[in-house]
Amino acid sequence: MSENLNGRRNFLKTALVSAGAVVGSLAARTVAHAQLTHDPMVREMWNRVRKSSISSHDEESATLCNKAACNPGCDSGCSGGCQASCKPGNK
Amino acid sequence: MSRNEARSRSPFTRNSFPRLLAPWLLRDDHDNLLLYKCTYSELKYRVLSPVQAMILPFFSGERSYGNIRAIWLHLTKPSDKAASLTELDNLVWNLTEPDEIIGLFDPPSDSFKNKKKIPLPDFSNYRWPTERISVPVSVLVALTNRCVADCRYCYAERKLGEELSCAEWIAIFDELASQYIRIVDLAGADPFMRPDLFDLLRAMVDRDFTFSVSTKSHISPARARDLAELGIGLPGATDRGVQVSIDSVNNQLASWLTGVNNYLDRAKSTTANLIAAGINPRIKCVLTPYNWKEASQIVELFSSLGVRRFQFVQYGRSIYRHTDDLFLSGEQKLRLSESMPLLVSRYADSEIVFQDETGEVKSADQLQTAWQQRAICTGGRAALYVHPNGDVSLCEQLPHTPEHIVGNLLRQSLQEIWNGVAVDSFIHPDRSKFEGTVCRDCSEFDQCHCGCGYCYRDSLSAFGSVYDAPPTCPRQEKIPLRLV
Repeated sequence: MSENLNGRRNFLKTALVSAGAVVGSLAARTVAHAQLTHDPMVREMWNRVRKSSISSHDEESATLCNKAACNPGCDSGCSGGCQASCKPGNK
Repeated sequence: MSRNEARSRSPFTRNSFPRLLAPWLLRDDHDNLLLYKCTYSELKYRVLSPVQAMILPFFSGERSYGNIRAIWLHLTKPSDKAASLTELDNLVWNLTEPDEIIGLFDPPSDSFKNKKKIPLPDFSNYRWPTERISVPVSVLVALTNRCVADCRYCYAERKLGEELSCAEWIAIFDELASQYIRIVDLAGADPFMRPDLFDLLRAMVDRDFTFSVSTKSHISPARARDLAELGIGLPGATDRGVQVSIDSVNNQLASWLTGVNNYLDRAKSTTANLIAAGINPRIKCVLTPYNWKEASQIVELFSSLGVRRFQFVQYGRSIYRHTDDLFLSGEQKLRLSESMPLLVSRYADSEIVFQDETGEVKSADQLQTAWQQRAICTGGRAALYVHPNGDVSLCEQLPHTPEHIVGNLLRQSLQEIWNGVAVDSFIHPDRSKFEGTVCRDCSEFDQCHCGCGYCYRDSLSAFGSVYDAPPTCPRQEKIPLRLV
């Protein structure tokens, strides 16, 4: 009898702890989500993103920009690169 | 750990606070978000992809990576969260190497200084990828073409003529600042030839411009203190520097190379005055057959004065005053290639930059690869050059003649010039201009001109015209004049 009672108690205890954990986790997520949606910058960015085509998330665009938009810079010690802004010469 | 292994995991832990690092800056160009390195020593920039533009403004260092991941999921609403987070990790890896754009420990970017003005992208009309940016990243200004020296190796044209007044320059600075241009570097000849230099420098500092002052003039203790008071050349600063040219530890040779009497003693005095004022100048040396053995002596002498930054470049053909005796021989180049790394390791506490160019003949495959990986010509794509009279061209080494001028900042606005026909037709020239060259019927003509472009200076130096393929183009058939 007492073993059964203890078993039930333990079962109830475990169930309560598990339920609490689930509720806690949900609550934490809700709080985190609320924090996100109340962050002015996140809201501003969301407003900008949702009006655009990138809300669907274009995987291609996550990669580095192509060479035409990515200047590798004057990395040759100014020997042969042609960059109006590097200090290429012999002054 | 290999790069691929490293990339199989997250670049930062969830509890770390990654940040966009200085000197990288974000700029809202209205039709895209620009990321660029705000320094005078090199020009690096990226027009951010839409997703990069969406997430990078959150890397202020105040949000944990865990929080940024949550923001990412909130903004992208992916069906597969795990895959999406891997995508974020990859995107962030791309911003941590090879350039350290995002990190944990170095000082943060100035883009987050004003919390109310963090640059954000406007996605309603986002242009990406794009060949040209909406506003230049960098503008070179030549305050004067006058110089105290007459160096045998000087590459500059130094055509004397009218110079803008201080007020006219300041009006131009105002316009550049209004366009959020921060890299406004000094070019041309010696800025110390202008009596109003410090008024101009103060105006540049007030507008938060990034620049370097390069000089062969003697700088007195008082002038050195004036520079220091403006915050120019202070140790560790990447935004404003001072450069002094030294070519020899032999006073007679230094004077012969520069055309200035007693040059070495003057340069030593200048350097000592700068150091005493708290400035950390960079010493620049052009290596020729006359001084190529002196690199270590130059470092030794100027290190003893307190200098910690050195740059050695090899003589390159000047369009305006070249003589062949200034070219280093193949043997000298090889010897330098061997000895300079030893010098760098011997002075490990100093920054010694050396142009390691051995003149080795490349195979056809190597030529092809090098051509495909060539640096973009930023002239007209990200940068402009302003002559002392306000004329604008694309490169400081092109002659100051009407065919190379794309506008004048006294008569036109920067936007009128940048978006004008002259710049467009310069960087996207008609095939007919290339008559008699391999470019005329080249199948890659459009790809070449709409992509990286090519070096106008090299074409002009090697073949006498900017409308020809540069010597580095694998399709070029003519034998070029030697350039380096």
